[in-house]
Amino acid sequence: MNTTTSSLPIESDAASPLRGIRSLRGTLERLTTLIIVGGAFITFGILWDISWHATIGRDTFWTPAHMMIYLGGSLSGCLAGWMALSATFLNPEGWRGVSVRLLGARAPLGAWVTIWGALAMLTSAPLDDWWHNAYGLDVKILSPPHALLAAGMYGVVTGGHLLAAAGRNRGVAAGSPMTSSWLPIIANGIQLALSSILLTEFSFPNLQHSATFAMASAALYPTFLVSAARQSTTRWAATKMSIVYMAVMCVMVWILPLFTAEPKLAPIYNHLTHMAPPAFPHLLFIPALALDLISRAIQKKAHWGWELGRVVGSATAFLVLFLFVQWHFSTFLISPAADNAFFAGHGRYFSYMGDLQYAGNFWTRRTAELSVSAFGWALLVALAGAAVGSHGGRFLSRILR
Amino acid sequence: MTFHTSFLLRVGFWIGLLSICFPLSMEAHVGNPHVVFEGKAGAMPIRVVVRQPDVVPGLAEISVQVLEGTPSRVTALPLHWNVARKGAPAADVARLLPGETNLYQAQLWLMTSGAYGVEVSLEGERGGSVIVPVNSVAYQRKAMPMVLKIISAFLGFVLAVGVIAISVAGSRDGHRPSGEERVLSGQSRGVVGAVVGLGVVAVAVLGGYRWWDAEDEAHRTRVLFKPVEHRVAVHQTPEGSRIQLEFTDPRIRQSSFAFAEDHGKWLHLFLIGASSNQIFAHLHPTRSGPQSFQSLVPALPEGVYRLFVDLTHESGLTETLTNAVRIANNVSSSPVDSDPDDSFSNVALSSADVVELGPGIRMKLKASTMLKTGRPEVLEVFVEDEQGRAVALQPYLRMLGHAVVERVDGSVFSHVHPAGTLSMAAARGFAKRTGGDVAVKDVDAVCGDLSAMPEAQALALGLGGRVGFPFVFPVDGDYAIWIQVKVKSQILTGAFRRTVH
Repeated sequence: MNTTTSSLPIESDAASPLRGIRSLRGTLERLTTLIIVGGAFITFGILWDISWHATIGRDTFWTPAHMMIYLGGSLSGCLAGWMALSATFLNPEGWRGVSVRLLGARAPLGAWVTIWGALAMLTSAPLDDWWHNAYGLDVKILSPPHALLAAGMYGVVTGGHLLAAAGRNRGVAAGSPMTSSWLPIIANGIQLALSSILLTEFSFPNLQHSATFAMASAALYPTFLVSAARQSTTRWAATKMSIVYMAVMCVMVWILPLFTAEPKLAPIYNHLTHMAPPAFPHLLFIPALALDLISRAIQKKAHWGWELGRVVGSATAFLVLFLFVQWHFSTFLISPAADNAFFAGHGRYFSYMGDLQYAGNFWTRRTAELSVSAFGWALLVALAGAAVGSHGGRFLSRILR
Repeated sequence: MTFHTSFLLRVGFWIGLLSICFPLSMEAHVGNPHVVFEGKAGAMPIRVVVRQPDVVPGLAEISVQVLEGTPSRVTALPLHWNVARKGAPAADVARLLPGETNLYQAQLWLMTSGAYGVEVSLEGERGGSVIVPVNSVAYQRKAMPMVLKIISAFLGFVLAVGVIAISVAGSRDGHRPSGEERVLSGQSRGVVGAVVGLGVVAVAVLGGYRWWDAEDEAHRTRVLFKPVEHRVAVHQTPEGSRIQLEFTDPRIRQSSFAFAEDHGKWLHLFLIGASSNQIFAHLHPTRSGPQSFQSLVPALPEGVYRLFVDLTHESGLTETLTNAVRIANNVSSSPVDSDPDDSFSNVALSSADVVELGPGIRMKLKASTMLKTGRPEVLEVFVEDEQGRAVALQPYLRMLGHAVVERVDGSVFSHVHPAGTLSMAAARGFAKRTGGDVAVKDVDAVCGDLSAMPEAQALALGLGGRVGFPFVFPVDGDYAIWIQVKVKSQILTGAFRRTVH
């Protein structure tokens, strides 16, 4: 299977229209970086918002966390919109080689995805407001309008990742990698962090011995890790991405509790004095390391059998290593030994209407414990996720526009 | 109760056509979200209006009017019935409204379903606190406004087209190096992209539809308020017709669902003529079984009657059950009622300011000439003799009087006391949980329970012949107002009709 783009004419030919692309290179890099910054705003904003709900409780449209999210969305959306405007009307020749056509207009694929994300975020706002008035001010993360908002936010962050990956691939093809080869890795790590937030309610350390946690994790993480590992243009991509994910989460674990806050919703069962942090992130870099090794081992092998081996090997390695690591790490996290500012364990990570007496226990009543059959089902899900990830990784390693 | 959904529009949320969900046609504490209290906090007379939220979690709007004195600060604090002060946040400071000298406002979040007490505190030399019980329950699910449906449908359609178009463009051109012309393989990849995009949209639409439906179902079954299930029947007995109310709700066995006596009665049952609003009866059924109550029907003419039953749960939650009964062949002409405080009236509603209550006694209603919705009104009456001299009012059900306000179509119903529309039983319950028996006595006095004061003092209060009922009309329309007082051991009812703008 050919995963390289060695014969690309980009930047190797001085003739028009490639001259235009060269002149755009700096602009594209800056715009891509800013769009990824917008995505980071969204991710940090969401973590802040969840902490706000869990700690203070009272919510308005104008909370600083909401402002951060919408600032991120609008910043990225506007920049991507400018790309489309420029590529369609202002400098169509210059952008021709880096853009795709969509309903008569042109822009890089990542820009279109970002614009779609910003529009979805915008669409969700009035729906979410109505939802609050119809069903109550929500106290859970997942509701249909929130799912649309999440899809929009994910679109914005994914758009940044696509732009960064395309830039990297163009640079690699031309023999001059982008200034920052970390850019796609960072974008991918932010994307992973944002996605992991969706699993918050299944991933409290107290739930990490459960079948639900295994299933939910198998549905999400192999896709990302295999996709990253599959992108052979960057070494140790999955491991690096996992470290970015951990960095994003740890920043919030360490910073949020520095701020004083008090619950303002009755009944209060847990009288907090500071902002509640998210739970300490999963140690994804350990399975990621294994997946990177697998990917390196079969990097140049194009036969479909090797590809199947990548999927099966990656899914199995991920699930075994991930569950083993988290099984023991979560035991540590719910113990008094983790009751400190670094790990924010022993119940510091939740302040919902539960009783702190449950902080040091695994919550087995809420969900079934992990069993052999649950592991089997999770493996099937992980296989599917790894297959999707492998396909996505191949796509990302070849995208040029 | 009906609940309509439109499949087509619901599906469309995810692709552009949006959900339609009509509200449930259910009402409780009928049609009025306001709880009004007028009394004292410490030594300062105040009027508190709480607009209860209609969703859970939701926002309660608190308005505090200080009628005399100047507090240094006014605060409001939500107390959940189950955890009270132990689980309460810091009190919110109510802000003085611009241009006002004595009107303060605050908003409180009520997080869970059930009874809350809103503790209003006036800080300052003569200040004090009072707890106003409110309901935190979702009575109905609001419908989506048409404008929002159209906007969301359009944006949803754009998003769906966007998914497919991006998928096509990405598959077709995403890998094409700069300067390379489109090739046939790119076109076929575009088709694959279209199929993938359509698949994503289809999964989103169907998944979204099912999810939305499940959320709505969960809201209907778990969150929406359900009135206590009951049966009403009218039986013929040798003494006359008897109305029997039987609670059939399995929840009644839960401790928080047990009833509390409100000013001496388990239930306050009202019968109002469905056709003319002329006939009005205020009964207090007595217990005839573990979950059943009955009352002798007074000499009411044959016909259909709207039935309203006020009850207070031990938790402090209040509700008004609604139903309708047909009373036929009522042979009861016995003056002996089930309960000595039962009463009825069969006179036409009067638009005049003065109505005759009996020989030589009349009642003057002094309400503002232009009753308006959404603002506190005081329905004040003066009971006088033919010479205009005050007639002494005796305590009736522990108070100087009782009022019932009903929109003539039955869509609004409230039982009002001189202290407002709050349930005294609920206020007592919150007082007991937060301050014990001493606080309960204080609440009795604050709520105007005349039995909480020496008899001579209670009688002296009625000598002026005046009693007022603070109330907020929720919607405009024609209202029937019955005001009941006790004079010379007789319960007298003044029946008025007023238009609210």
